[in-house]
Amino acid sequence: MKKTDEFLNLIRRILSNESISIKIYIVWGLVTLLMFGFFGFLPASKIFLSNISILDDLYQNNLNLEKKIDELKVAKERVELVGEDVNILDKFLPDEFQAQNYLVDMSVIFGQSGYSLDSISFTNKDAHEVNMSLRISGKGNLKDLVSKLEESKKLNEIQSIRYSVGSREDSLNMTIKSFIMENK
Amino acid sequence: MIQYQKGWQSKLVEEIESYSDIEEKAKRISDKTITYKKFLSSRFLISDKVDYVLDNIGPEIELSNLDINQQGFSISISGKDAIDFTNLIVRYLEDGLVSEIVINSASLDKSGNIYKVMLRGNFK
Repeated sequence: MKKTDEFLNLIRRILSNESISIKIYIVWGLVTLLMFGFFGFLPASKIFLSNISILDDLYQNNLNLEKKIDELKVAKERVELVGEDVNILDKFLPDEFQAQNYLVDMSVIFGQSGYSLDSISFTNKDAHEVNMSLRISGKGNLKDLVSKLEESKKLNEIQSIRYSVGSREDSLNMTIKSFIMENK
Repeated sequence: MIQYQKGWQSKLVEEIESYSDIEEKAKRISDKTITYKKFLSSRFLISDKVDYVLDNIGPEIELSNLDINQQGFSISISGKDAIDFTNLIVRYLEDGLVSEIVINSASLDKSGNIYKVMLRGNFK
């Protein structure tokens, strides 16, 4: 207890000396400022700097999004302009294989070339092609038939033709590959 | 400031989402057009080959059968003069679409004095 009183008295005596106490306060203040600067200001400044880069990224992203929206607006106008005409594409490249559509198309083409369709069979090998085997008869124009098949709306590729000339009517066996675009 | 940017971004994202159907529709049109062009350029046409085979057969020769595909053709023909078949082979070879012409068979029908010939040609 006595030693403690002696130590406190020593402190009081030193601090009662104004010049010493001012020096102590100045040193204390400087140390506090340095400590605050190191432990407080530095992390705060790091956060501030990282926020600036986030802010810049956000701003750039927003500008890109606005640009994208402008592009989408133009695309929307174009798509609306095309409107229901888009369905015309389906006639050229159907989304799915429907035998009756092919049957109608083929019958029309054969009829125009002077032939009649006797039989037709389909095999849907994969998502992109339909194979047709056809038997046709009549006294028509083979060259005209072939060019009509290749110029038709649907994308046809004639694989083989077997043509026999008859006295009353000719007979034809054909294999045709037609392209489709099935939705996966 | 960050909150302001985030708020702005939310509005923009919301606006973009409202265009989702347009994007889908445009993609469908684009995919279909690209696929159509791809198929169009990759398919093999046979009409030129059919024209070539039939046009070279003159009126003096009669066609009975024709088999044709992308690789080649074979024909059964008949005629009264043997020289007409030689001329036909020469015409086929001169046009340059075939790499070779092979005579598969040739016979003479003495009753009508008609030559019957089977030819095969391979396209280049």
